Amino acid sequence: MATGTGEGAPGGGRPVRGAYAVSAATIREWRDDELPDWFKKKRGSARSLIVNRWVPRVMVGVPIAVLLFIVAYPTVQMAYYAFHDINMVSLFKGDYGLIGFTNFERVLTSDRFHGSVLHLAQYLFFGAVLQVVIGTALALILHHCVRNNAARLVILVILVMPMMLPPSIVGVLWRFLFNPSNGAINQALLDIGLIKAHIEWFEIGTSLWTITIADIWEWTSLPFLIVFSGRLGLPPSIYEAARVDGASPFLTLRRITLPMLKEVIAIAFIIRFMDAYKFVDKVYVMTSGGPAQSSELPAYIAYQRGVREFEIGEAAAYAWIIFLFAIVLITLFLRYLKRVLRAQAIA
Amino acid sequence: MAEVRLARVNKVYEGRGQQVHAVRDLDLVVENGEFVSIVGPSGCGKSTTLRMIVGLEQATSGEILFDGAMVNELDPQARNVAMAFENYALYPNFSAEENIGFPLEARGIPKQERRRRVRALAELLQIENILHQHPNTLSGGQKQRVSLARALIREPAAFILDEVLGHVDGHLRFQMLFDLKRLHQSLDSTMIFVTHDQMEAIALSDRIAVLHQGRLVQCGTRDELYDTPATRFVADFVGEPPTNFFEVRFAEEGGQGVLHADDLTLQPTPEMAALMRSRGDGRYVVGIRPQNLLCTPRAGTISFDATIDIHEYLGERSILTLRRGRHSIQALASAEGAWAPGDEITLNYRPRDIMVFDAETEALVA
Repeated sequence: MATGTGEGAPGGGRPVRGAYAVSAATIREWRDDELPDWFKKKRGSARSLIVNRWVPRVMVGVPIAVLLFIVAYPTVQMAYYAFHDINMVSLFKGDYGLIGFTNFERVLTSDRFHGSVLHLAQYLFFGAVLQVVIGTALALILHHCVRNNAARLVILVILVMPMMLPPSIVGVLWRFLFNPSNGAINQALLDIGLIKAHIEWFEIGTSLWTITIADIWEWTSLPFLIVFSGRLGLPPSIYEAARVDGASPFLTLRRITLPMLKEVIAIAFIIRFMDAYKFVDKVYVMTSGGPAQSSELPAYIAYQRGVREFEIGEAAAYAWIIFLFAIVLITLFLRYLKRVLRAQAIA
Repeated sequence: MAEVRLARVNKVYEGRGQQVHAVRDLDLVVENGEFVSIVGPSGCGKSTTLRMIVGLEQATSGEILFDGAMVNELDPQARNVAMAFENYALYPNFSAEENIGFPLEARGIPKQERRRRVRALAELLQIENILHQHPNTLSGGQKQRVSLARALIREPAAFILDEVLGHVDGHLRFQMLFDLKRLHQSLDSTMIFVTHDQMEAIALSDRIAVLHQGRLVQCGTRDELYDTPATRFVADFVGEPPTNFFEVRFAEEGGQGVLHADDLTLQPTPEMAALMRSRGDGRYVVGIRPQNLLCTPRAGTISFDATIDIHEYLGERSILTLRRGRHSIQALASAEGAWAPGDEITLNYRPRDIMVFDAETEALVA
């Protein structure tokens, strides 16, 4: 071997990088004068990597404390509010009583909540699901059709760009584009003759679709990125085997690529579903939930009731209901993932 | 089953402004039903050759023919060859049974029929009990059997086996060698086996093709490679332990041709001497296999002395590494002998076991 890399027992040539830095236990066994010069040079002036046992505890402890303060504490506080008859006036008076499940009852029996659940279902199916489906298709098409790495990178960057914009800015942009009377989209559709009259993009029945389209534009690149990187990680030899075995490209896709990517696609779903439950920004910017609450989602109502109208108890109940919904759904997903991984003996 | 013929096949890889000529003017015929091994050190082009036969690589020039029909332009799907991969390349999301049945699935064979044929083959390879398991739960040997089964399940034009024993250890390797030999005999199929291990090739093959730096150096039976190696490289590569080489000068002594390697003098046969005399060239490389250096004299043997450096005990045989001047010589000896480092012993050889190579071209002279 000409280069000499990789043939490195200690004491021989220069060892494989990192061979000495395996663990603290390994380092402790090497006296300083035993270490090779290149390692000492790289290590710099630090004498030892072994630190006081309190250092790691503090390093982990501080973030945990911060997380407890900004996540756990508000969650518990919210649970407390959800069971009290509390709004801005009673909060300042300090005069609010325990009312049990009344807040939950009020939310769960309201038409507004029922409507928003239907809207959420529509958004989940046509927004989140379509994003993952389109993203997966784009990723596999890009991987299949474009072999040149530089070209891949350029396309990747272009496709990922929408995700880099702030969601509220995207909302504003699309509100302009969809403006019924002088927006670019209506104008374009009229010009190419697809429609005869302006489409009212922000009417009852259309406004949620309009928001969904804007959201698909922005977020399809996330599942795209996830699936694309997953596809890059699949071993090429398996595809060679499939070709030798005589599998058609479609059979390969159906029986090999998609099944092997299913964990990755599930993760893309989880991420988009989690975002769906807290989807407020575009609703707020594009329609404010209107007209006539026709584009409201549960998270938006919670925001509206809590931050706008200071019905804190009711908003807390909304938040808890969303929270429980999300837990159930994500748990189902994770259990599915675990089953898949166990079947293949990966986990 | 088919005859596989390669005619003046070349493969040039182009990348970042430099060319790598991986396979040069390769001519090779694998007869119908023959077991041929392609051997050579890493980077000699044997895997590239095999990938061109399968269709995973396009030949830069030359023709690849199956039963006389050119297949250069055909996809692997259309060539109908079966391949077992070095790293198994099993589908991780399938059970062993689905893996083995996949080539049938790709041909639209119904599930019942698939199941029946997979079971029958699994019995032959003794893997019935792991059919429901996924590849990640299998050991290396089991994976290799599943991978072989996947190649054997259909009736292809040829079986291509790429280093299939590379990751299999000791005992299992013998078992798999035996299995492969048995399979070849019972299927009577064309098999092309690539390996870097000449012992595997010798154990399995009807003929062995030796590749070196992209060129076919020699293709022949075990005995041909062993007794009349085409070049010094083949003599070095085939056989274990490797052949002893000496740089020698041809000289006349007392009306006889002899070969001087410093203070060691070797005695060629009169025919060899005549040949070297007629060539008029003085410098040669001589090889003697360790198997042909005997510790006890026999009729017609010639002897020289050497000192034992190292004694490696291999069970039924011993490898002796000896010193004679600046030469290091390996010889095979019986394990019963009391060999001790430092002892001076007498080695005997028959003049006709000497292999003489040209010093420049390294081709066999006699």
